[in-house]
Amino acid sequence: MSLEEIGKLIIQMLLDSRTTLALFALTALFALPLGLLVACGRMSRIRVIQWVVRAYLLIMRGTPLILQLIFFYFMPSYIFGQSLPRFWAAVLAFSLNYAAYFAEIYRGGIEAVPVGQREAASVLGFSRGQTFGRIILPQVIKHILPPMGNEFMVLVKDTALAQTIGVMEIFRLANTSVSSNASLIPIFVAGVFYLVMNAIVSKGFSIAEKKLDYYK
Amino acid sequence: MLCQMKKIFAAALSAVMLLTVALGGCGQSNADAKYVILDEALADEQYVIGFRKDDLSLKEEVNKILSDMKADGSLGEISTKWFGSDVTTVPETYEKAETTDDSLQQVKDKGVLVLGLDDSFPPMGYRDDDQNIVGFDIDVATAVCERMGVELQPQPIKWSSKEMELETGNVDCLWNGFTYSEERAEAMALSAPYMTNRQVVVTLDTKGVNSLSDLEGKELVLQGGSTAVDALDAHPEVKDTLLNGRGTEVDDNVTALLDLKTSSASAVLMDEVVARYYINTLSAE
Repeated sequence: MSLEEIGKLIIQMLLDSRTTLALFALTALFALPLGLLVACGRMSRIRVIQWVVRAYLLIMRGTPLILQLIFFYFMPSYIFGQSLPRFWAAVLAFSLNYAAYFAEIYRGGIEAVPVGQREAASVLGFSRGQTFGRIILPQVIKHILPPMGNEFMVLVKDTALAQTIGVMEIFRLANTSVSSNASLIPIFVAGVFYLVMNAIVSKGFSIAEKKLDYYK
Repeated sequence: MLCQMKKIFAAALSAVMLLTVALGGCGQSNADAKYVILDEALADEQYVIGFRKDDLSLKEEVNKILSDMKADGSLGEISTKWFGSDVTTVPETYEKAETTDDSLQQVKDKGVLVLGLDDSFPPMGYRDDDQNIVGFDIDVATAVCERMGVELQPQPIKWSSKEMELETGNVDCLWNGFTYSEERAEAMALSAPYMTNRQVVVTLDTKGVNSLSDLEGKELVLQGGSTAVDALDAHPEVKDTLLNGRGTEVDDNVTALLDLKTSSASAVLMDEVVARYYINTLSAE
């Protein structure tokens, strides 16, 4: 490939990285609150809710993400006769999948807070909602940042799987340019793109960790 | 933060530069070797267009238009543009069969024909430097749609999911160097064959492979999941003599051809149409 062709490819990749970034941002936007809801369901004292959530966690974490993408894209057409648009089917699959992982991370964080704090809060007259919002959640956020950073970095790379259902993201672009240019350079260019995105995610998390390190 | 972003981008840019230089220097050992296609082919194949099994009226209409285009020379023109001569095999006259389904009407009503393709299959359907989908099949399909009075909408799909894409109505046809097979004829409605393709062996003039029998004990590379795999399976007398008694499967044809230049692999089995395109592209560099 000539330098001019590589320049063109980089510009196109910048354009297509909007799809990758949108997929990443929307997944995070939907999966973060959904995960918290699932975590609450997992810790619920109502048996039925707990079992439903356990089944959800097992299915979402126990089957390949690539299979879930195919399922959410093609299944609606068999059941309702209409598919979701490719991009939104990908957002749905990613959100449901990542919510399952996020839920377990939340649960780990919530259960790490000693019971004594809840008892102390109730003695001091905090309601259950206040206890969770004012006392538990701030500690949870601090504790779960490192594992969440992991998941976010994996998510950036997992967006490449969306090409399975025909979403044009940067790895798909790299693959098609490999074929039309008969050169492997596009793949490595895509690698640099993922690296830059993850460098930013990683930096963002370390800044957040520093900000929350209020005991030092 | 802004300063850090700048640093990161600078690092990324220099990484790209380094890779370019590094890759440019790779594979120099066979740099002067020339690609050669053996005369003996492993299989003769025919390219067809795939429709849903019940969409017979749409299929008949496309068949009819292709024959009209062959007769008035416009199909030959497109073929000459891509292959240097008219290589199409469409008959010049076509009698439409009676059909009762409304698939053609549906396409006309929505005003678009959605064409499912693997946009990494030059010269049939691929992306140019500006990321437009181009190719022989795309040119022909554009002309067919014009005559049908609808718009062509090429939809890139994962080729391994093509049957599901077609069946669930996400695409109206598969039109991308789609090879005829009995299984496909049973599962779909296939157009009349419009072009012949062969599964050929590509090698380098330095590899010492001049005929199929020279492949004995050698490594043959091919694209996994392609019809090249079927062609090799149909020829055990070749397959069994290969190194380890089987071909080495890689993800795509480019990887296979690059393997030839940089590794000990002796030959690649692939579509002749595609092979000729790549040999021109790779030799031009």
